[in-house]
Amino acid sequence: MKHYSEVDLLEHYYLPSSDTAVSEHVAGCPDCLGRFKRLQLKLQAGRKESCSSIERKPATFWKRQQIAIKRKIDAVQPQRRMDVPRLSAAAALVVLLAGGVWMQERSATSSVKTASVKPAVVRSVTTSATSETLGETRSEDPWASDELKDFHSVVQWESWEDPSTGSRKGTS
Amino acid sequence: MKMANVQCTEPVAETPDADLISRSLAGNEQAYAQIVERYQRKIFRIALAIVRNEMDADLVTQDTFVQAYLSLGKFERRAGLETWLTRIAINRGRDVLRARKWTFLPWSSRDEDGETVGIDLADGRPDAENEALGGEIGRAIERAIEHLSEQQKTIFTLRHFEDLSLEDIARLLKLRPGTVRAHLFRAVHKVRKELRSWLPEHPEFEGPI
Repeated sequence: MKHYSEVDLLEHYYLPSSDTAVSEHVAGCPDCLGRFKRLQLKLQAGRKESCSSIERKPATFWKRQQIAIKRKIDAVQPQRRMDVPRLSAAAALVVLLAGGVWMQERSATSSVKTASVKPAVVRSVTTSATSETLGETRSEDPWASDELKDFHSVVQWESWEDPSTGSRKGTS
Repeated sequence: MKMANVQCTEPVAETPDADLISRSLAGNEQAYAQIVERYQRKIFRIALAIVRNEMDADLVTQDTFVQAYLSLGKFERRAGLETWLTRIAINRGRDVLRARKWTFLPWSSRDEDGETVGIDLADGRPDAENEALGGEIGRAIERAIEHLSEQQKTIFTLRHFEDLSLEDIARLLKLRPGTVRAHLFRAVHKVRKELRSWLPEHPEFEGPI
């Protein structure tokens, strides 16, 4: 009769229904059953030790972990919160820009319409006005104006004429 | 999914999970803090079973709750909150294992003689009874786990440390029970092989009659 070691019984422990030959033998062999139960105890003791090492952790460990989780969530949350206002702000900006462009387009077309009518009037007015003023300035001697009439003698004395060139000194 | 096999005690749930989820989704931070408090020990234990390193297990636990919070709106509630959190923790733990492949194994190192030695990360020292019963075989299994593939390691640790049934592991990992059984079978064989080489040095570990 073949008996099993604890190492062999590991398979029976982890995969209870995998090997029916082992299961049947363990069920009928008090020695192997005893060995299997001892193995079970050892493995369970190891697991309980692992559990109790976690349970023994101080409350501060769990509190610190909770704070770390909250901090991480808070670090991610503002980004997520920012996403919606950012999108709405971007949408508002696009609408504003589109509105601005539209308004500009509209004013441009209306100014083009008026510009096609008005320039002729404006041009004629300005050209006539400039020609009139130019004519006046050209015909009048600035020294003979009313404002400079009193200084005429002084000006005449300082701006003597050069007889060789005929040009007036003191004027550029 | 029923996961009553787990040996460790859990805090008594007063407010149903569904209420806490609804309140969390409505922006109540206290409600989510309650969820964290309720499941952090369990998630930490699962994470520790997979990554075998307290520092990594702590990070995996934190990331699990952060990810769960961000995906809470997508939680379909078909599975329980505990199962959902466990699944996230397992996936995060496996990410850590995958990342380790490209770095180094923090839970093991080589001593002066070049022997691979495990780092005992348990906080308290085991008591005499536990040391006698589970200490030696536990350490041998810990060493054996290091030689398993990532999938085998995850399945074996869930079976060994969490005492989950094959069906529960299959549901958590979204695998077929047959696949889980095959992986576990291979894992157990590797553990046995490891233990056989360790056996002659430890006669207190019983051999065949």
